Amino acid sequence: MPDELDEILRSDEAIEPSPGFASAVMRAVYRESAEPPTAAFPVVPIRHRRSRVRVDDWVRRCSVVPC
Amino acid sequence: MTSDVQDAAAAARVIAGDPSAFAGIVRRWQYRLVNLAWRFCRHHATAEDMAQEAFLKAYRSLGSFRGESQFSTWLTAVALNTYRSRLHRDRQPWLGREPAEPIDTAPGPQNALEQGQRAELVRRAVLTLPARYRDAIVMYYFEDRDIAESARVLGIAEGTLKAQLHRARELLRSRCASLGLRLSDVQTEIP
Repeated sequence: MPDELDEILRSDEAIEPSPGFASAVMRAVYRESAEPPTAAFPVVPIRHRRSRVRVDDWVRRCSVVPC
Repeated sequence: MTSDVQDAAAAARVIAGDPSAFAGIVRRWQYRLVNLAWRFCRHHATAEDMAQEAFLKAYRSLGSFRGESQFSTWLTAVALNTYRSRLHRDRQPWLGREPAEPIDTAPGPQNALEQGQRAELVRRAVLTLPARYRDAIVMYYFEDRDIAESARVLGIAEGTLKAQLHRARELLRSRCASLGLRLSDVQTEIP
């Protein structure tokens, strides 16, 4: 036997979409489809500063090593 | 041709570059998506705004529909995620506006409240539950789905959903009691 809580939750009323709802959605869809696709984010290769410092440091250390 | 097959065919046409094919999906689904949004906000204009956002999100992500689940499950999950984000973002400012009918909250005997007003208070109390319990109640009761289908849309195991429904009902009874509403105590087994 369903209790009162079940009955209340199952018997919720429904609402009707407004008459112009579907048209409004489609207008938004056409607007969306007319927009140019988003440009890809420019990716520029960046030299890693820390690794460059390490390489420089290595070169400097090599240069001072006595032969 | 079943609705799911029609929807899948329309989705294929949209992906192929024909946005007008989306009109059929909107026509077939507007009632369900607006009503699902209504369960989450209980405000007509906001429900339509949320449903429009869900349709647009579905339109943008149609390419991700692979046909592994039914179109209805996929679209409902897209709508559910959209509504969750919206509720999280807006903090439900509309809750408390536009009651279905004026609710008499004056102190008095329990039976002074009309049955419809009591029911509306209970349904609004659902929206104050933590999100996972609120979503479980909306999917299982308001959308009138079975456990398996509700769990699929929510993306959780059936056992998890059953536990969430059990806890949600406990919390709801407690919230209703704090509002001065006493509900009959017969416990229903979740199948």
